[in-house]
Amino acid sequence: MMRLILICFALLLTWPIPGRADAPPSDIEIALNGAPDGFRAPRILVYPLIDQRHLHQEKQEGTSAVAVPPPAAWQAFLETLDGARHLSVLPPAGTRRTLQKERAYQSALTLALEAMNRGYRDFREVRLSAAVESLETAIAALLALEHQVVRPREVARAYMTLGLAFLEQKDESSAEMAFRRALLIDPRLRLRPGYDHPKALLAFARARQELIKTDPPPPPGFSARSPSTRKSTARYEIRARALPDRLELTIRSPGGVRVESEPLSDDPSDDGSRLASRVIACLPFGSTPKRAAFNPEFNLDAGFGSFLFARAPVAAFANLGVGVNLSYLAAPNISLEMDLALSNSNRDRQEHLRTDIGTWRLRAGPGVQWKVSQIRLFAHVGIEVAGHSAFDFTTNPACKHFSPTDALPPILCDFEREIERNDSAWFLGATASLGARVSLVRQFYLTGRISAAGYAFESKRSTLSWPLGAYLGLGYRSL
Amino acid sequence: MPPLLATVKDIPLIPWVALFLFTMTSISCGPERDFTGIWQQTQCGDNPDQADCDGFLYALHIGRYGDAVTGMVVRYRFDETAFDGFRATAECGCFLIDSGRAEEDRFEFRIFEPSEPRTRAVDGTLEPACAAAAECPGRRFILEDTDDGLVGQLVCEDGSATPIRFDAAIGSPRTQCSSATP
Repeated sequence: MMRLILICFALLLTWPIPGRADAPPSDIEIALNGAPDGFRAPRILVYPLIDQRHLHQEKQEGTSAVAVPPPAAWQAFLETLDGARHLSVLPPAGTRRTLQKERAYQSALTLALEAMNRGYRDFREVRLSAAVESLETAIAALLALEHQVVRPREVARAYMTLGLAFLEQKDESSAEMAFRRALLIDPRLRLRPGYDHPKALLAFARARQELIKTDPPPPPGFSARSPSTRKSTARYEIRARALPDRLELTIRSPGGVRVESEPLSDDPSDDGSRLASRVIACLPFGSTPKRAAFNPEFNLDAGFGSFLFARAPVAAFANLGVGVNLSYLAAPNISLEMDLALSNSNRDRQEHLRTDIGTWRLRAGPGVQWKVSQIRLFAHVGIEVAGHSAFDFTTNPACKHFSPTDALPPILCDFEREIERNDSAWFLGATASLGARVSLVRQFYLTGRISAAGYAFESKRSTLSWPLGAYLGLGYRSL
Repeated sequence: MPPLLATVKDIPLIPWVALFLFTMTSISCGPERDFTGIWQQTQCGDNPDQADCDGFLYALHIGRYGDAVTGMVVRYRFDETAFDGFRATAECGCFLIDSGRAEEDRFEFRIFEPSEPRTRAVDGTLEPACAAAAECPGRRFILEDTDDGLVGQLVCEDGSATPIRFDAAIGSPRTQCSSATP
């Protein structure tokens, strides 16, 4: 037992104190060496590039303009952005998957597609008003879901059909507007000459010309006025479009919208890198989670205690007294404790003890503690120095009742032989305690503790050892 | 300031404090001290009006220590006309209690050297009336605590037993035969 207590004591003394850990790395260290565990990197969603250079493309294959490879600067931009270790960058393919995983996407999409198919059916069966109504409903729902990012051709085709319905209604202005919106979502979309109506081809061509006459407006989702369908404010969105002369990015953040553009030069790698640098500069760096602030605290309590000596020349007797305890919470779970208790013995059952035993006990040592709701549980080990006063005891009832002056026959009581006298002594040993503090109001608490001690050294041979005790007190916590 | 019980309502605080206090007080309880004190004889024999035993009254000066009983028995000459049968002038020797044992509400003891009463006289002699007394040797008292006082038997060495009764009296038990106060 003694050995176990001493081992626990040594372990606690060498226990690493959490509050003394290394300082968190700087931003530069994170940028160079990577983020530490627990680093909260801002989440960046990069949307697929909308290549509006296709608006200028005259050649077409089927219903699509001939594809132009995306600008190399875009790829360079993505690579540079992906290299920023303090950012959590989701590439375009991942953004598409993320959008599809959002809550209610699939169920809302089903309803929107049903409305769209109803619009197509009404258009084929020349119920134009119904077709317009259904298609407008479907398009609004699809845009709200950002389905134009997942399947741009599907949404663009809905716009296209809406434009054709307007044309059938002789509303050329609305038709051209619908065609323009279709081209903003899918710049490669085309009508088929020889298959579609010449009036439709003309209106579509006018719409495309209108867009390329000057810079085309940004597609849906780019502008600050675009409605955000998400409540989440913890992510940043980068939407990109390629124009004939530049790459333009719209960065949407919880704080607003920012536009960055980079002219396309002969050095696409440099273009992409410079654009990425500017984007990275305007994005938040992320943060290392701060450890919960820890304030060392003192606990001071006083109360009543009782203990008994497990080894004694007489049956167990209580020692009642007062105690004061001071503990210092040095780290979140490590504390140092010191307490002093003064007590006086009570009667033993047979009243063998003939004098009171005064005892003092001084304990000190480290310990651990855990907070559970309003209760703090703690365990301590340490060193105890204790002492007791001199005392007499006898097992002969006549010796207890009579005194030497009563001229009692020695056969009934031999006072010299039958009263055993124990001198005062002091001890040194190890101690362990378990207890709890319960918060009452504000900084006041109620505390209880049980403890045990074993003595390895005694100044004089004593018949008393192994005190086992309990303590109940009221205390004040100083923060 | 929030009320105490509302703050710690989820903690079974009161039962734990009660348990602690109960444990503390239980450990702190000492042995019973019943019977400790002075008991004066009020009846000897089956006749309730007969107070004396063969012309003597006894006063028990008892000390109880756990399961053990000790003390002394003081003997008085019985005088039917005296107002106080246990007056100091009527004292007629004393005896020490030996091997007393107590058990719940009954106890018994025997008399140490029953045929050699100790004396209150300074020179150690007994008064004539005391010396002339004829008593049964090897007296033993077996008594039980009842609402009417200590009730039991006075047993002689030959095995004969006489019913006897004692009432509690005020005062501290004596530890000396030579004391002038009963």
